[in-house]
Amino acid sequence: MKPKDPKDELVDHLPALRAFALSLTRNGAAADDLVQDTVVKAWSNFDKFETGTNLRAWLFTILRNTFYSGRRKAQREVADVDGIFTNSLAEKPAHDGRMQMSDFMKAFNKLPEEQREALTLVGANGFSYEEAAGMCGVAIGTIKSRANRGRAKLTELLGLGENEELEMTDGATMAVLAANGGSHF
Amino acid sequence: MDTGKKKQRSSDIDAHLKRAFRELEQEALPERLTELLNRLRSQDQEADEPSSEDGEAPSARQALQVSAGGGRA
Repeated sequence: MKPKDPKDELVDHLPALRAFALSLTRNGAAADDLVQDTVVKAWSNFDKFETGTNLRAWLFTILRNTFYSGRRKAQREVADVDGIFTNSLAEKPAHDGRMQMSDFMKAFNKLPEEQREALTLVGANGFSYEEAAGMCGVAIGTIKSRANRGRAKLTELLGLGENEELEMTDGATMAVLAANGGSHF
Repeated sequence: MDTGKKKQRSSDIDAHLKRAFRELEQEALPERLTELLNRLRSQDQEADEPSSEDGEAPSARQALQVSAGGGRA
């Protein structure tokens, strides 16, 4: 069977690319600009993509490199001025006092950039440490350390004690999520 | 914290992150991104077809310039 043209697969990765862009820029308009630039760069360089390798990792690397080279030029970090990264997350019922997803993401946004990035790649997107290290151009141990320090910092920011569980959400919402295909959570 | 609890905590945090990012991914894509893809595809098709006129097919960068005219803030 002929392998699918990566150009046709690009659209499938756009939502994840946009979420990654949002986590880096923390600004909706800047994230969309970044994804747009990434798409154009990818399109012009698809001849360099090795069929059979991880297209999403390749696209994430382009996006990441574009972000950092653009930021080097601008020498400034765009803040989450419109709150899109945290506010776009749906609020869940809080009748039992369990943690809200937006609280979790507010804490996540306070992490140092390198830890946020490592957790975005490994934790949120499921890349292996090896893949994430390749994307960031650092050693595997560095990514592991950044991710672990990020998780520890998050635990601290959320004020979680050693024996406290990090509840996903309340049972009713879990049922709704499951009914909508979110049962893997 | 013992290793078992640490692993569980790490896995819970990662699960939270996955869910948060999946929520972000549910948002509709901005029109300018889908338009850009359509434009790039059209350019590829035009480049593949024998042209009756002189001139090169526009590049991906040119597609972005067209898109940027109606998109970038």
